Amino acid sequence: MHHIAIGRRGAPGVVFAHGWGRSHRDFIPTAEALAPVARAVLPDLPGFGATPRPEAAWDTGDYADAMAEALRGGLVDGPVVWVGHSFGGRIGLRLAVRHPDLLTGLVLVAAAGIPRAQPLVEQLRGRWRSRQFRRLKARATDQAALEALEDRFGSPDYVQSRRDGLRDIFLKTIAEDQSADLRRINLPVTLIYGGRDTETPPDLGRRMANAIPGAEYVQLDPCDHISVLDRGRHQIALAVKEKLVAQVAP
Amino acid sequence: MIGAEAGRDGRRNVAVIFGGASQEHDVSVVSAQQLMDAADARAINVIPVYMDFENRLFTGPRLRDVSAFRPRPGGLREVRFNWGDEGPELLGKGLRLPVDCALPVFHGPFGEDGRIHGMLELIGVPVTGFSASGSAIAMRKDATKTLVKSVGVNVLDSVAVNRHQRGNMGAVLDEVEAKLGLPVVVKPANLGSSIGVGLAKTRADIPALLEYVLRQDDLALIEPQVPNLVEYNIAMMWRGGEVVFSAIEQPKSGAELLDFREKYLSSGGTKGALPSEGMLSLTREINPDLPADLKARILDYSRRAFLILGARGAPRIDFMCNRATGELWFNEINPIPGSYGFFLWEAAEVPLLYPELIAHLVDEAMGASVKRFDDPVPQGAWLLPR
Repeated sequence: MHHIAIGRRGAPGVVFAHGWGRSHRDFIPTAEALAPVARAVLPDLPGFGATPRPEAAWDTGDYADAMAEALRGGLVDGPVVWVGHSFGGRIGLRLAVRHPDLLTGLVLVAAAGIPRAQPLVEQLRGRWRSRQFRRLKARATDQAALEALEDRFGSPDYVQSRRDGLRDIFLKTIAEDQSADLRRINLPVTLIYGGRDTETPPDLGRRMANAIPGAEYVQLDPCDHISVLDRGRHQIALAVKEKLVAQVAP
Repeated sequence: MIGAEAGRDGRRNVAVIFGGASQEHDVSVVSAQQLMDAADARAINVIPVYMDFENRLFTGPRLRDVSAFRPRPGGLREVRFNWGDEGPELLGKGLRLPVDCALPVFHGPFGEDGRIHGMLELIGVPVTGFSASGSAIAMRKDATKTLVKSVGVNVLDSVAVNRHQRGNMGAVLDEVEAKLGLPVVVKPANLGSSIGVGLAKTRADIPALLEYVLRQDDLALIEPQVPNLVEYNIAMMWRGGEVVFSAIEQPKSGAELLDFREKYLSSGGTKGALPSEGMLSLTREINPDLPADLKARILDYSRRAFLILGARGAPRIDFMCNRATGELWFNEINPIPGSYGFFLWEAAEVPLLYPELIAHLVDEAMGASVKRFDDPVPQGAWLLPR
């Protein structure tokens, strides 16, 4: 798995896991801010950046198991604070339940994991669009026409997943509802959401925080799903540092 | 009234003030955006307060969107600081926002020279950083140098020239040649950035440079040029009963002198665009490898200068050094350094993240500012009935 490491060797470990369609680069400034106090590892998750995709269509549990294997294999010494953005947050939630011995804390940044609460109007609009999509798809005569329809109706991540050859994984992971896992998490957890995020809106973050025992919820009003990585980087770094300090001085 | 929505949710209401009628207005806006994003959202409710070119104050949520500035966003409400029934507040038409602390993020005149601090001190609003008088002294480089020299800090000799002295240029030039020799550097004594810094290689170069500087500032400072110049910057704060230091920064420079263009627009920066933090990081080296003796002198001078100049906030001191001889001179102190120097604190011996630096500034201001309501005149000085 391709990754970079930033920070002092021997310092407590942090893994920064990027979101769907993104790469390790998203978290470099945050890892640099923490360099004097942490050993940060920033992987390209399988299928993204410079890491090839898995042969099978993985779900988030498979991703978590692969990361657990890498961690046990010496990717970082000792248990880590897991920082996950969006899709990387989904993997963090799975790790916290399946491999809790590997984590000392979770920082979920605009993390996905549970279904969005959609207002009725939005639900109806969604159903109508999806019916229209299916109807037009049935009439499509060739691949080009099909792809043009996808571009018109699909979310940016859905469209991108075809270009990246990850459609199977996308469809498998996007539908996962990790609600049942949330109350089983027994770690210090901070959830950070942008007030202007339309992909993982603040309401979703608050519901996840309410379901995770003892979790802390932070809202950054001016940020959206992506700018939370840049404008919110100091808050992310702070949440990580607090977990590292708590770990050193219990 | 929409005061209730800012409300009291256990967080501190911190008014971050920026902009202002200064050459460094745009840099202040960018610095303030970074700071507002970095303030711990769990503990601090940021109230953005923008000062326009006429030094009027405005607030509004669009102040958090840097892309809305042209050079200021629309839809803002004019406000003023006030002491209300429940203490400090921002007051506007149909608007009353309680304020726990003000945090000015200005560079240059009005914001960094003590005038904003003076206004807030008079009203009784706790304010971060140097006091009004400390800021005013820090703004005058000649006064700062005299003060730090009195506590054993090495400074370059200098000649200060005001506008009245332009009529007797011959005497000024004689004094410069006799006291400093040539070449010399001519710079403004008050302005916060290095706009207008010039190098005079001959006596004949000096009048035009003085003329240029005195058009922008009412006092010019002439100093000998430091050969083999290398600069070192360091920030400091008073914490836990002692002075603690940030990392040392060595700005990189290929040119003879740092001027504004080089400082802010190097690496092919486009006119009007501000460089990113990433680009700025290419222009400096953090924690350079220094001889132990030089590092010890930087810390010693910094400690002495900080204690005599204000011992508050998190200012940055800039030193000049002759690379060949190791001689070191205090150059200036910036009570509100660019980006508040957060990248220097992240790399300090005891590292501080930006939110922790902001928390320190706010804690210090709130702990040290007390609004008094009692009669300040001692009984023995009463001339009027009580």
